[in-house]
Amino acid sequence: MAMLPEVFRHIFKKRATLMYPFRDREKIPVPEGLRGKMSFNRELCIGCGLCARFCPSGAAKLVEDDKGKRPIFYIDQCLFCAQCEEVCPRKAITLTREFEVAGFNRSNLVVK
Amino acid sequence: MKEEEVVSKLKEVFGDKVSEFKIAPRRVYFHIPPEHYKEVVKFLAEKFGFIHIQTITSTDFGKEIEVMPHLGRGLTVSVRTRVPKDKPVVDSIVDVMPGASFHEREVHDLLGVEFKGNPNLNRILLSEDWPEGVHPLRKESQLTPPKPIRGGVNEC
Amino acid sequence: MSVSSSYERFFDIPIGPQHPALKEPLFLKLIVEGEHVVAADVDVSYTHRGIERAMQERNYVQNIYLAERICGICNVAHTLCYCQNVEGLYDVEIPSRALYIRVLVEELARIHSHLLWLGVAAHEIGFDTLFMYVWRDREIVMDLIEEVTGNRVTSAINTIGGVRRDVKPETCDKCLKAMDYIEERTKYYKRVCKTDPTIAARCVGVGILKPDEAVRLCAVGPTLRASNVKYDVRADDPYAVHDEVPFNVIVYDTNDSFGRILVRIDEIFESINMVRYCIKHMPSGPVRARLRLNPPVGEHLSRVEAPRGELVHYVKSNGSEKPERYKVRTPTFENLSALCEMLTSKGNYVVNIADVPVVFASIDPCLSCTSRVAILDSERGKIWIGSLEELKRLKR
Repeated sequence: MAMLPEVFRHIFKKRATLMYPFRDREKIPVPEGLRGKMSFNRELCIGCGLCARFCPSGAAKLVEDDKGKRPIFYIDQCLFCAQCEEVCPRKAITLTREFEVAGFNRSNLVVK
Repeated sequence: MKEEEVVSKLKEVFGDKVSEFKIAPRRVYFHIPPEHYKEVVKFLAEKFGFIHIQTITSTDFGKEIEVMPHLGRGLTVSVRTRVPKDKPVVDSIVDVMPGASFHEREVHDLLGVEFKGNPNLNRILLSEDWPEGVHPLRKESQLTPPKPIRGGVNEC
Repeated sequence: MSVSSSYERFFDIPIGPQHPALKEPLFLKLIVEGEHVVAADVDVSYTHRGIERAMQERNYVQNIYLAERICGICNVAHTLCYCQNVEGLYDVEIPSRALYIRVLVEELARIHSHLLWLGVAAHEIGFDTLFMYVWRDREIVMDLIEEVTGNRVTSAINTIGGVRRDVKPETCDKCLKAMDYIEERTKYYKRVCKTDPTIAARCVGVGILKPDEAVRLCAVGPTLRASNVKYDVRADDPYAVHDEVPFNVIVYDTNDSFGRILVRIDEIFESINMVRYCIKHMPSGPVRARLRLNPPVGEHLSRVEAPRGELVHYVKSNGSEKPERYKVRTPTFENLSALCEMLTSKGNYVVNIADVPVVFASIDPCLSCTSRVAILDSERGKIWIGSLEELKRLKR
């Protein structure tokens, strides 16, 4: 019976959930250190390949292009563990706070 | 009970049959030939009260397979025994500690070690359609990565 | 009695692997006589993923994240155990600030796991109001974990040699404030659980596990502690800074599902105090020791008290960048044999079919953790295949 006063109190409280995709987008608390979708600065990259070597899920792949070996990141395989950010010697990879990465097309989920 | 106490008691009772002692804080590892393996486990359980079995680990070393139960709560005693790979048979310790049954069946599934005296060595981890006699944690079994269910990484 | 009539007495009731009451793939085979379960058999092999073999094919850094994905809820316990294990191969001292942060995150994860479990248990009992309230308050802990580690669930905070990020002072303040709120709410939930007639009717005297049986079947964690056996890895084999952080091992002597609820609620209070202690006494300094990539040849066994019980990891290294053997033993694996015992009617103790979800939930099962067991109790499995007369004897 300890439940009843609590239940009545909740009738007058505002709801605990947010109407997320339609409203209240700005109300979602995103902390500063959130590990979201990565951003990659091609200018800084030296092609050492450490990100591809330590990526636990194979989301980082090395490809040959005009500047030598450069990584491509497939976000649909990414675990958001930030290991690539940690091992990168030139700080070319940073994880942003963007967390809404769902989509209909896989080509949007490639970071070059 | 201290680590050194366990070691000295084991040396006293089993003489030169026990060997390869290795002591770390709250850990004791030692080796015993497979024919005395059950004797030692029984001795530890009944005389010292190591009745809790944490797990049985087993490793394939090419010619030999190592079977190692880890016993105890605070202090962990690991009983290491090695059996030849072409005839991997070791005594079961289920009648000493009933909790060992699942661990023995797991080792039987993954490395093909026979536990003599375990009444029920049925399949426990592998699915029903897994081929007989293929043990996935043995060195010779090959690992083929599964095909992606839909599309490769470059297909959109 | 003829054979045919004895066949009519006992029925097989299969529950699962897909079942609305059970959230994870589990197959329960119950032998019932009327409403009473006389024998039970569990099959949880539907989520076998071969993680131990996969770990032998990856390097030590990649394995941190694979170990994290053995189980979502106890991911902190798994990475902690993995990192301690690999650090044990090196002869190295971990900075004490890192150890404090590890304990802080571990205890936050324990609060979140026990609150989650309380919600699931309330749902299983049929008390969905409590389930909603508990899960709303759990969100606060999830937000704290997100603030400290960078993600709500998969924290990725532990690494070989320490932790990956430092805790900011403002996060600590937020943590302390949230702990006060959680403590107040948990006190309220304890009062609800102790006074509510629904919970008492569904849990008291249900799922009895006697202390000697619990010890014989090697049960671990809150399941064992509710049977009045004082065993906690944090106290018996202290790791990280658990030898410095004071706490009490909670035991209850009710031996039933109700005791398991109370053990977990009281553990939340202990965890709250440990979080406060960690924040207050956290030393300053580095949070990470840099280690060589390839650990030396050797072996190590590491144990952690996960929210569900004792978790054991074992590593064998051959000096290369991949482990030669990695073995994981999860707490649910040990508790399932105790579950079969709880689901068996004996003497005056009867298990009704309606009690099965509650008893099952009371061990806090985590089948993705376990990932690989199919249990046919070695003695009883034979009995019912053998003869039904034997089964009747068992019933008596």
